[in-house]
Amino acid sequence: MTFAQAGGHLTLRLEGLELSAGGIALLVGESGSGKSTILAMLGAALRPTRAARLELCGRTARLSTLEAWRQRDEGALQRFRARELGFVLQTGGLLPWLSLRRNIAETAMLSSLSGGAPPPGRGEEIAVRLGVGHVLDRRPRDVSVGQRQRAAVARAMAHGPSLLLADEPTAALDGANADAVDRLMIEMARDYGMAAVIATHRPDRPHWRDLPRLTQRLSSGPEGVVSVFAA
Amino acid sequence: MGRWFLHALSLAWAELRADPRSTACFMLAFVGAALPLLLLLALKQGAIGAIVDELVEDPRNREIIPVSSAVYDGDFAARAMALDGMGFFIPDTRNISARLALARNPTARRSYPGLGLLPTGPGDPLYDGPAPRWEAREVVLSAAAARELALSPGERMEARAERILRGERQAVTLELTVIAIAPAERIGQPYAFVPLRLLEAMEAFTDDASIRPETWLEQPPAGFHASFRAYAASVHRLEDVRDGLKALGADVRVRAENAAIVLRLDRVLTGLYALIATCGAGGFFLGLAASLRANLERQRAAFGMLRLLGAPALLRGGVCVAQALAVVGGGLVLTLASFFMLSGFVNVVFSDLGGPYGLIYAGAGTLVSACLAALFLAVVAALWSVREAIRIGADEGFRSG
Repeated sequence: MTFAQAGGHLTLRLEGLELSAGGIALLVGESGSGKSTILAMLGAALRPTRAARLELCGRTARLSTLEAWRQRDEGALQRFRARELGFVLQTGGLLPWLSLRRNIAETAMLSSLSGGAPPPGRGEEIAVRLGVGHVLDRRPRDVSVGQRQRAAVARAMAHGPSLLLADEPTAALDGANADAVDRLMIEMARDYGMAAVIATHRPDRPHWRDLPRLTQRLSSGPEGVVSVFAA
Repeated sequence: MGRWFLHALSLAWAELRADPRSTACFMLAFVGAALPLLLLLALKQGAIGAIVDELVEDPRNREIIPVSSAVYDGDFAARAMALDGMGFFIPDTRNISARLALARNPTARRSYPGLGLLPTGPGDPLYDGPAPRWEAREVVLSAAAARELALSPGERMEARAERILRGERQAVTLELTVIAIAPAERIGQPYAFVPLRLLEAMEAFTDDASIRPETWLEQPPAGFHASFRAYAASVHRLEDVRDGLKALGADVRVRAENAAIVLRLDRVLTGLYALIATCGAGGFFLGLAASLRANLERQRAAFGMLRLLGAPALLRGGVCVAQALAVVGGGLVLTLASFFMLSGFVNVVFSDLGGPYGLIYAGAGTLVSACLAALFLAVVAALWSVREAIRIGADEGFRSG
């Protein structure tokens, strides 16, 4: 899967990523190396420039991403994102006008409205496990950065997605806090049978040690500088 | 689709509640544009509308009167009645013949000399109810005449006509039954409304010495008349009817010359208001569209995130429309509350200037129409934001998160 930046400064390439339920992979690279772009393509949010194969098979739906992009089938992409994908972004990406409780419930609501299976209704359970059960009625601006990120993890998992895409989910947290959230995220993804791709620029943390990783290396070729993520 | 829109409403409401200061500012901006427009409209309806209503409702303002006596035949009468906009037309005799020497109430022994007579027929605008029938010797009295003679419907009145013949006064008397009283608001002076045949008989008796008192009521109707009573169907048709009668050769004028001026003023003010309202509504529309668009820019990351999470275009656009409706809906509540307070105050302070509803008045129909128009404009103004909200990509949500 390749993404060429407009202007041709950098080409990104992801080689051979296959994940099954419960499988977790790390996407490793420095800041600005293109990890977010790779995740956005995997999350059916950004169209790859070209790809040999890009298929997402969820529990209830299957998406031939390339075909959907080609046909401009925004409905198929939207439904798949709502039902089968969970996103944890660098600064949480919570909707500022909703309480944490409603933010967490939003993915379940959108999944349900998009024809997904009835939401498992475990948003609050996850929130409690993540240690934000007592601040659910506050808005994002009224809680700490760490609590926001924990709520973002809860939102990404509340609707029972098949694939969790986490883009440096704990980059804004201090070391101990970051480690705790990372561990909980891995633990819960395994508990709930979700596959996960986690982008990080700190692959040396102990809890990442046993995870398969796609590491970035730079090469140059006829298409200019290529940033390749491969096992 | 309904569930999506309900969810959009819920998100929009949450967004507005989360930032009450900005929401209040949006609503106040709406009030600033809408309240002056509503006050202007209500001022026009209250102050000018009352004068126009008075004009329209008083049938005397619809009267067209012949300036001088002439000879009008049956053909003229038929063509005058058929004029577009003619409300009521009946031939009349000369003014000098249309007066009783004496009207008398034989029961109460009250009499009134020189009571004026007006020919009447079905649809006379100066009173309601059926016209008096000649065969039944019926009469309708004005309120002033009924008061002078102490007569009520169902009572009888003696009508006496006189002529001087070779130095000798001759009189004829006719007994009439009062069938109705014309309201004082429509005719203030003492008058009796009678069938045209009575006026024709009186004119013939006065003018023709060969007619004997014993047979004065048996004369055939005259084919010509010296005058007529004419009323336009509405005050707005007054000038049309006047011009129509002039075209038929009658020398006429409208009784209430001021009516035309007030109507013209009303038309000018209506046009002026339409211009001001168009400018105001245009400004309001642009202001609202720009506010909503600015609000969307503020929330751009959130809309990108909504798309990333799988919200379809219907939901994202619906949030914009729902926000617009909520802002305008809240603004309308504030506008109406301010309007009622202001109009109540002004109507009390200037109670002598206003019509029956006060100086500032807007009816329920006007207010409902204004509210619906504002809500419609809100939806249209939101379309700019809807278009952009739909365009914001999921990748934008990914990057901004």
